[in-house]
Formats: sequence, C-alpha cells, structure tokens
Amino acid sequence: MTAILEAKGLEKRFGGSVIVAGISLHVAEGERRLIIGPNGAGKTTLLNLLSGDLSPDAGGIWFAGRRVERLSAARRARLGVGRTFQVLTLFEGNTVIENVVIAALGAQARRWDPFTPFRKIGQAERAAMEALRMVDLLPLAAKRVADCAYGQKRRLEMALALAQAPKLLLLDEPFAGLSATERSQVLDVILNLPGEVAIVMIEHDMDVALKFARNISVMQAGRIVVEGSKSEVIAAPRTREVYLGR
Amino acid sequence: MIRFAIVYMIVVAAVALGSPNDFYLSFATRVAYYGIYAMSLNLLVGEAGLMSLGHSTFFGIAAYCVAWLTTHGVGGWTAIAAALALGTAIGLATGAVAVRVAGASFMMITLAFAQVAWGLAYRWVGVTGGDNGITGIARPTLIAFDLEKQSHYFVFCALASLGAILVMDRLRASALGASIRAARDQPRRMSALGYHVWAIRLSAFVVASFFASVAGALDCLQQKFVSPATMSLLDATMVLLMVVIGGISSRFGPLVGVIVVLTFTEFSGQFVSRPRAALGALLLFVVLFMPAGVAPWLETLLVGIKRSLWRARPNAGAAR
Repeated sequence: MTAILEAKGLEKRFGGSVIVAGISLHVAEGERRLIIGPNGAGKTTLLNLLSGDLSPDAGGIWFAGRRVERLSAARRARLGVGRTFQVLTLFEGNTVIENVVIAALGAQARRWDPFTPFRKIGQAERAAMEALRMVDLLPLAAKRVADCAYGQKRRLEMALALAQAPKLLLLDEPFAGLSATERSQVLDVILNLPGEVAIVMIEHDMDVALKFARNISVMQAGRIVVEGSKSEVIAAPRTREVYLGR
Repeated sequence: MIRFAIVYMIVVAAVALGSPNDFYLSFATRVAYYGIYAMSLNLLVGEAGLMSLGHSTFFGIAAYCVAWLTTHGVGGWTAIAAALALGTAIGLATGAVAVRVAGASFMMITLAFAQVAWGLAYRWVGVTGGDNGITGIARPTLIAFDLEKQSHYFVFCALASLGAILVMDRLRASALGASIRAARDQPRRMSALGYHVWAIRLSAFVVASFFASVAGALDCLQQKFVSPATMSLLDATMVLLMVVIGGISSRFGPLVGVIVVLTFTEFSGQFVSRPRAALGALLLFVVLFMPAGVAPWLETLLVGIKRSLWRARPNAGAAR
C-alpha cells in the first residue's frame, strides 16, 4: 500500500533531554494506527512533529510523497493533515456551527474574503454541516460552545478537523476525561469516519483504543519498541514489559 | 446597518443645520473623525487582541504628510492620497515586525515605534518644524463645496466617517473578520486549520493603520496645524481610553467612547479645575460600574426597559 505519511529518523530534543530519539513511521492510506506508551514516552511530541507544531532536530517527514518537515503547521493543514488537541482548543464564545465554518474556511481561499459575511459562504457552510453530521452534532448547531457538555466539545474538536476533509487525521487522546457513555459515542464517530482517511491516534484508554486500531506502535523513552498488527503487538512480550515493568 | 446609516445621517443633518456657531461644528467634526480613529484602534485591540500603544503613529504621519505637502505647493487631494498611502505603507512595514509577537511584547514594540516617530517629529526640524509644528494649512475644494467653510467640512468628515464605519463593520462580519477574532482566541488551533496567523494579524494591523491615517489627514485639515503632540503617547492613550470606555470589541462601542470622552474633555473645563483628573475618575467609574464599557451597558439597559414595557401590558390586562 502506498504511504500517506512517512517519517524517517525523527529526533527532537528539549535542552539536554531527548524526547523523540530516532523514530521512523510508515502510515498507509486509510490506515488506522494507534500509538501507545507510558507517560513521558514522547507520543504527543511525535504528534506535534507530524502536524508541524514543532520542527524536528533531525530526520524527515513525507506527506503524500512530499517532503514537509520544514513546512509550517498551516501549510501542512492545507495539504491535508488534520489534527485534534488533547486540551480542548475551541472558539468558546461562538456557536457550534460557527466553529466548524471557521474550520472549513481554513482550507479555502475565501478565508481572506473581507466583505462577504462569513456565514454566507455556501461552500464552507456545506462542509461544516457535513462535518457536524459525521460527529452527530447537527441538532446542536446553533448552541454556544461554552454551553455544551464536555463530551460534545470533544466531538466538536473532531468536527473542526473533519470540516477540512483531511487525508490524514491525527487524534491526540480523543477520549481524555470522558465518561463511559461519552467514550462510546466518540468511538462510534471514529469508527464511522470515511475509510479513505488515514488516522493516527494517541491514547491511554486501551479498552476503547483497541477497538479502533488495526496497527499499533508502542513507544517508550522516545523510541518505537514494538510495532505490528493489533494481535502481534498484544501478543508481544515486550508490550507487557513496557506497560507492567519486568 | 441601513437603520444605523439613516439615524446617523439625520443626526448629521440636525447638527449641520442646528449649530449656532462654528465652535459646535468644529467639535462635531472632531467627533466624526475620532470615530474612525477609535474604530480602527478597536479593530486591533478588540478584534485582533493586539494592545497597541503606537496607533497615534499613523494618525500623526498622515497629518504631517498632508501638512508638509499642502504647504509645499501640492494640491489638497493629492496630499491626502499620499498621506493615506504613506501611513498604510508604514503600517505594513512596522506591522510586519510587530505582529510576530503578541501580548506585552507587542505593546512594547508599538510603543517603541511610536516614540521613534514622535522623536523624528520633534527633532527633524527642517521638515516638521520641530516643536513649532507646521501651520498655514489650507483645505481643498470638493467640486462646488469650499471645505474652508466649517459646515461643509463637517458634512464631508461625517460622510467619510460613515463610509469608514460601514467598511469596518462589514469587515468585522466577514470571513477575514471572523478569522481575526479566532486568531486572537486560539492562535494554535488556527495554524492547525491552515490559517497563517501572522498574515491575519498583519492584515488587521494594515487596515487599522489605513483608517488611522484617514483620521489623521482629516485632523490636520480641521486643526490647520500639526505638532509632535499629535503623535505623543498621551494622544495614543487617549484613543485607547475612548475604546475602553465605549466598550472593547463591542460593535459601535468605540463611537460611544469618542462621544463620551470628547464631550467630557471639551466641556468639563468649565466645571472642574483639573479636567484630566476628572477624566481619570470617569475611567474609574466606568471600569467599576460598567466593566464591559458604556455601549454594552446601554444595550442591556435598553433591552431591560423594552422587556419591562412588554410585560407591563399583558399584566395590566390580566389585572382587570
């Protein structure tokens, strides 16, 4: 399968400490990849390197065959890399639909339009509606985000990324802080995403995350120590060592 | 918006026809172009979240440009066009540096630019006349209207102000306006969505410096005099005060702030011996009792009155 995302020898240091120590990653089109590992393994830093929030000290990243590790987060987003944040990053004062329209506009040249009211741009409005349908938030479109429940905000966080029809979606702990019911709602959303979108997810909650994953990479101390299909990784003795200690 | 324009025009006509003398017309003229000035600063401070201490730079540069050119044989309209171009170009150049940062650093950078501009106006005596400033500025003629006549100049400024307000209000509601606010609230998310946060902030800065230049050019032709005081820190904070008192980020708050502050500074001298101290007290009063500003306070007051009137009617019927 052709790779949508390829990383080779990625390194990131903060001061003296090496957070990501030579990671290589191959994500195929439409793949469902889970990255797990204990706290401090460097998962979020890796995600930030892939999204462009951080730039690597060494190594290269290719997205759809194009070298991107020096491109800004905004440029990568326009190429088709979408992401969510572990800490909610929403426009709290706006309504649900306004949030998603702003997101949809980010992928369109009309984001620079200084004249047309931003809710009158049909293309963005349609993309926003479609994204809200995918995360099952259409009935709440007119609600102010500040008045939404936490689980709804989590799904909105995902809708912002989906509104741009990304080719690759990076999910940073999408289940963090959710109740059991809310977790299953978010899982439903993720399981029903279009098959052609490749997804890389970082998650602590193994129960729900394993239902999603087809392939898993296990990280420890800035490296990938086990990688393979779901059953291979679960069966690998090294996985247990990482999670339970020797 | 159409309703706003109609009310605005009625007020302008009433002032133009009803003013007993040029004193009130001059005052109303200043209200008109200070409206442009304060709205443009609100675009930065309120919408983009960029607290600028140097907005008077563009106001002053445009004023000096008009003053110098018209006193050196250049026609009034050409001078105004050149002033707008110069103010906007300097806005683009300084903004490109300043909007790389936000928060306190942005404030200090804009303050630095403002001090440099003020220093130039003060020391570059050959061009600016130094402390004496430039005098003897004449207003141009617009078709058949001699703008030297204060009533004509007032209507001209009021129309320019209405145009500027309509354009800025339209921008506020547009896609670019929405992204200016969004970049203020969640810059990192905006990058992840494909927006170039620096470019968005720069566009707000350039538009704001353009409209500050418009106000500066109109000020120069109103006062027929320009001095370094135009660009002083005191003047920069005065506009900021108008925005804060009127209501930061409220739609027409800055206009209300202009009316309140200019009326206060113009007429408080007759009643108190220390007008500036009184202005400080006014600010304190607003911050304590109308924390969102005068305009939002008025809005809630009006809504409350409407509601109580609405309720009074059916209750009166039921009591019978």
